[in-house]
Amino acid sequence: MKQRIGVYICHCGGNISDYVDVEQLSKLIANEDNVVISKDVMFACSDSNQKEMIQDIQEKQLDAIVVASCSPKLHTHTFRNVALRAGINPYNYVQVNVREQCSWAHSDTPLDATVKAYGLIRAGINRVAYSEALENIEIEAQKAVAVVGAGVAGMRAAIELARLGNSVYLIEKEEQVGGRVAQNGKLFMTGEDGKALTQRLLNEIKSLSQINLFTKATLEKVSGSIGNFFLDVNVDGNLLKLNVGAVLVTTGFDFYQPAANEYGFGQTQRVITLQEFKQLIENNTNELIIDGRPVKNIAYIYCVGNRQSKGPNRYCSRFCCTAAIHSSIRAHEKFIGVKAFHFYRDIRTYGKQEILYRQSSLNDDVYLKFEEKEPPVIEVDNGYPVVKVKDYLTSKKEIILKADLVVLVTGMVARSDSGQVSEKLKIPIGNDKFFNEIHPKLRPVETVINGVYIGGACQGPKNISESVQSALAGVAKINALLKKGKIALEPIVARVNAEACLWCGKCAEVCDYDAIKPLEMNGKMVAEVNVVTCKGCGICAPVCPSDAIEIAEYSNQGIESMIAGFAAKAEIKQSETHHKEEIKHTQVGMKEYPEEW
Amino acid sequence: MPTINPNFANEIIKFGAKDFNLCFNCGNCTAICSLSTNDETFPRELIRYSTLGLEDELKSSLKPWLCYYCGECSTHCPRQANPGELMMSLRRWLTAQYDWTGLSGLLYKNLWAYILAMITVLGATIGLSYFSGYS
Repeated sequence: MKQRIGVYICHCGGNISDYVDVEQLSKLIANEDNVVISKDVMFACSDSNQKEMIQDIQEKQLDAIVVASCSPKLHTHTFRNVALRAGINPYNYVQVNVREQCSWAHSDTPLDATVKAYGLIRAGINRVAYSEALENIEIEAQKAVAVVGAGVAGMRAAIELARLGNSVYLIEKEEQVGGRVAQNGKLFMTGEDGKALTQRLLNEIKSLSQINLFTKATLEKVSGSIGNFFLDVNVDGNLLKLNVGAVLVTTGFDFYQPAANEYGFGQTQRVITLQEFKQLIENNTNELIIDGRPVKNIAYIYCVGNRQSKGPNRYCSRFCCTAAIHSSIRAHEKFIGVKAFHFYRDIRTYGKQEILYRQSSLNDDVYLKFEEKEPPVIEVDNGYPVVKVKDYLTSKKEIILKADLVVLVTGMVARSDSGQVSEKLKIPIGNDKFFNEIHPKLRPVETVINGVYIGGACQGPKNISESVQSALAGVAKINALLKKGKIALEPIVARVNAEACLWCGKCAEVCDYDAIKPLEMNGKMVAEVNVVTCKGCGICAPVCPSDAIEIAEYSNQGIESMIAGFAAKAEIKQSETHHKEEIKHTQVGMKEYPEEW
Repeated sequence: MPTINPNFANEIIKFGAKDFNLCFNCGNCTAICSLSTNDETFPRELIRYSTLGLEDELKSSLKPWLCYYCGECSTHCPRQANPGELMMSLRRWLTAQYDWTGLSGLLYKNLWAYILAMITVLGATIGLSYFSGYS
């Protein structure tokens, strides 16, 4: 129980003090039990205030601090460092959010905002009174990484990881490396051949001794956790055991496969997917020929299997507009007299890919727009497809095109075997079956499983540059993690009271991270928490029938005292500033404006 | 139902149109046109018909004849698709369609035929004036 607590309430330069009466609060808080010092400060996070806090802690021999300012997401680390520098444990500090939760949320009722802030600060004081000194959990980490999937993203990541001094195990399911990129001919914008590109990466991989490449290899079993994963890999029938510090998953994607008779698919060999069309361009030399007859008029139908408002693939696949237009330009360059008709919903050749759209317009490509509710209909006449569409650019007139070839522009979907990988590595998957990151903007390559990262199109549709970018972001994260050889983990994890535990297994059942396992101790089974995999989410604590499990920093006692602190009666006086605030309100009321306004 | 004619664009280009396929259907030309009304909208519609090669729609339309080629649409086209020039070319193409002799089509499309015709007209004028006694 902490008895010398220091409380700092921040003005945030008016962000808080304009609505919450921080001066009055700091005076009231000074009378609370165990509070030795209570101050209101202009900017709690400023250097000068940090120095003052350290001075206070040392002079007044404080054993815990509470900072009432902004969200803990912003400054938890700042004030933990202050505590550390002043010589107290960083976990004897509690952040109370009176900006987002009080002044900003209740700016229309300043008095209530002040009352709420008072409650929250008292809850924080009670919580810090029960806080313990905790040490980070430090573990040894293997300087080895497993990269799953040797497509362009995986190969590129393996090379960089090796160059940074990690040993790399590159695991590829197929016999050949290179994945989808190796199936491509010329690529936009460099004009480089896809096959040549992946071959170059393969040569580089072979020249690096730190990379062990396994083809025809699949992940069989995964155990262990961050710093020490144990992988069983099946390499062409032989079992291989690996010990790695982190795993980068770059398993890629599948192309959407049109259903039978979707836009006439399967009815005639003159309806093909974009991938098949790319092969056709590569395989034909001077003239585009199908079934012994030349192809002149090509219809491209966009968004096949994508952007379905009712189907499983809700969104745009990002790469397909560019890929289709690039293919149509390639066909125009290679074969004389080929004319392209693009049946599209929206053209999304974003960024530099816009150049392709302009080029295709200069090639006299024709664009016809349809909507999802009125898609083109394809009828087969004598083996030739006839496309009927309501063209939204020609006042929704029904228009017919007698085509020689229909190319279905299909997008990316999650791999059909993505479930197997996610099951083994415990990576959460979304409704779209792609792997999920922690936060799409702020933590885009990390998964909720510590030490498991995702890169490339296994996360969602991406083009080649975007795939490589995300894989390299994963490389940077992994290298930062493994560089020291040791990993420090947050000590806020679940703890078991072995005497009270009866091992009913309920906690293990609800745990999303497989962190709880039974252990025999003094002749009975009790729950044991793997502190490395535990996230401290707290889901195990309420299900325990004998209250034998709790989270560090969130003991029952601590939580109950917080509730008591928040619920205690507050006597806040309406201050003068609030009066002014209210008068201002009535002054700007609409009815007060002169009539001629 | 109207069927796309993939060769029409090449035909109209012979009558002077160019780059009209750069059009991305923004409608700026129709918005800026002082003669286009809510009931009679052009030139975007005619660009669209020309792109798709809907000849029947073009032949039955009076809109090409409403245009007096002020050039506002071409000035304001964000894609330099030159709608004004297309309207002019459509009038030439229509004239050639009405003319059963095929002579006007020949004159519009073939520079040498045009020059030869001019020389003939000039020669005939000079010849006539000579024989009728003017000097």
